[in-house]
Amino acid sequence: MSSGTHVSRLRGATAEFTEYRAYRQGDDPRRLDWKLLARADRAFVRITHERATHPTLLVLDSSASMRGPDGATKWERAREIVVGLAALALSASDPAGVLVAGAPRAARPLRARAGTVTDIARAIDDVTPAGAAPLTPLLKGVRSVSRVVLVTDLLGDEAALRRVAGELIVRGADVTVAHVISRGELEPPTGAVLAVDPEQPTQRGTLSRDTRLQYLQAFETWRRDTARGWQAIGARHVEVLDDEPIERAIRRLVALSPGGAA
Amino acid sequence: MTLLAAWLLDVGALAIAGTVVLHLLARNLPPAWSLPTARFVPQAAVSALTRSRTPRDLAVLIARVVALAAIAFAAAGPLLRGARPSVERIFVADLSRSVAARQAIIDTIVSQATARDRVIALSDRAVTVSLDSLRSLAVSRAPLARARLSSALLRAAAVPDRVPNATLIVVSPLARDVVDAGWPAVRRAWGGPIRVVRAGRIATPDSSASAAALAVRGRLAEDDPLAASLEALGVRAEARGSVALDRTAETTTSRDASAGTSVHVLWPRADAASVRDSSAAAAGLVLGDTVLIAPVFPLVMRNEERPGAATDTIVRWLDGTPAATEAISGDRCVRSVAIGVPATGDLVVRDRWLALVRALLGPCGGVVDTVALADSVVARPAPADAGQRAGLWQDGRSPDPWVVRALLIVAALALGVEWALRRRGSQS
Repeated sequence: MSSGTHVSRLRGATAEFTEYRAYRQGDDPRRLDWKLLARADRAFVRITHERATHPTLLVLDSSASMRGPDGATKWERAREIVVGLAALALSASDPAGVLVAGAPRAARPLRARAGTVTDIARAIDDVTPAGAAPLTPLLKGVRSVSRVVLVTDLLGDEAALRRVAGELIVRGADVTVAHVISRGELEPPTGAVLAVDPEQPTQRGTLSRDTRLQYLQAFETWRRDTARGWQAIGARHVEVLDDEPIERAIRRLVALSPGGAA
Repeated sequence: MTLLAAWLLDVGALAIAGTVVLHLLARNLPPAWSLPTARFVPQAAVSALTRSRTPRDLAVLIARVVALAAIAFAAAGPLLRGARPSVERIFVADLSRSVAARQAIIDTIVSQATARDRVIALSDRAVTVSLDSLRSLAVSRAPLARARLSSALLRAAAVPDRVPNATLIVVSPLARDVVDAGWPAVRRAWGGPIRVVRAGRIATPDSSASAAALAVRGRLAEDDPLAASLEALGVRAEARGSVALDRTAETTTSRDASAGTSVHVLWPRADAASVRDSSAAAAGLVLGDTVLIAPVFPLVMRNEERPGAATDTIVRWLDGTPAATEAISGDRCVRSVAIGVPATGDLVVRDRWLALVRALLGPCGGVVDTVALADSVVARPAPADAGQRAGLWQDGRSPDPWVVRALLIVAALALGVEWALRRRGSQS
């Protein structure tokens, strides 16, 4: 494994010095700063940070619901997030890869070489959101990654996905959910429309002045509960709007990341 | 093109208007909108009665309108050829022998009839005439034969372009002579009302028609059974009698024998040559409303060809074959009687037989019955079932079948297109 730019969770005696700490019984005597002991006649140990790479796996939802009510804006935003995070990871010398639900040919393994971002962008560029392929099977096959970013609207197998993600978190992975929401879902039209679920056409209801408020309340409740559910398992949950500037969305996703992306 | 039931077009127009309104005013589902979060929309289906300036599903509407219009046209009874019937009144001018003042009848009709009416002149037969022709009939000679109002009504029924409930107006003094036994049945068949306009007057009975005045030219053989009948009737045998009775088997009348007489009766005696069917020991004769069952038998009819003469059957056998005919030509008539008179028995002096003989020796056309009838015998209001009898198409004619068939095919095609459009719409 090559040395990355991220501060490792592991603190050791090599690599980059961070601070001194008073020697406590049990500390490794090899970490004592003998020169300081000679000058100050006090025992201090050197605290350093290990440098490591964080393989970043981006899992992209390409189900029909990612098209969104106003065209493919959700899908466009999801692709931009994937490419942006991949670029950030690679800029930090972290290998990045992508898995696309329902489009196995668009998958790209973890790589850190030049051109990986372009390769990922080209791979997901050919994907058209359709069907209702679940994300959970993809996540079950994930091994030894330190960071997993789920780019999805969570309108599919959310409960099963959360359960598998929880297992990854237990194994030490950092899981981030980029919850993509369209403006149309948040603010549906005030006129009467027959809302049809693109993944389940039989799921339909009339969205009118009378039912709009009930819809907004139900959607708000679901978003809140979903965010809490992911936070409860130790994952980060970030809502990304399809009309939000992509830079700001990436910044919010990275800022919340414990290790930081840059 | 004529429509036999144009009112059905109005019904069709109403149906089309209703369809258009339904397309403008419909309980509609709102437009579909793809929403991934549709699961959060309450499932209660909401539809609203919406109005629009333009009809929805224009193609379906057009298909429905075409189908309705085609069905309405087919039901309305299209008739490409033939004009709509327009004759609503038919006048019957009674110019029969029972009328004395014919000019009054003609004047009455001329004053009331219009160009759209039809006129039937009833003399010894019923003929359709124009008003101008009717005026010329005023100076014509009164017919000898009896007129029948039934024949006038049958002629009226045959008038082309007659509406089914046309009014029949009988202008007549209404003597019983013009009303025959078949009149009630014929009158029932007429679809419209029948009115009577009294005009003219009934002719005075002819005194020569009485039995007392009846005189037979020539003397009968003593063994002729008919001689007893004539004696019982008080008929004299005179050299200048008004009736020439020919009891020979000759098939032609002698000019000398019939000269000066208006009635010539050819009634041969029964012999081996003239008997047609002697096995009929007892037969029946029908004269008007009278039936005579007697041991008479049919003879060979001595029909004489008389060009231009109207031959009428005045006595029939029970099987309907003629027993005595009368051919009227000008002011004369020739009767051919084929009734064998039995030589034995008292038939020849019975009352019914004598009445038959009196009729056979009577004046041409029979005795004029000058009894005046009440209007109710002839007139009647419009029948209550006139509309039903007329049927769906009011003038009783049938529409052109191929036009109806073509319209129904168009309607079926339009309905098929409408079904396909609706199915495609529901699938999308």
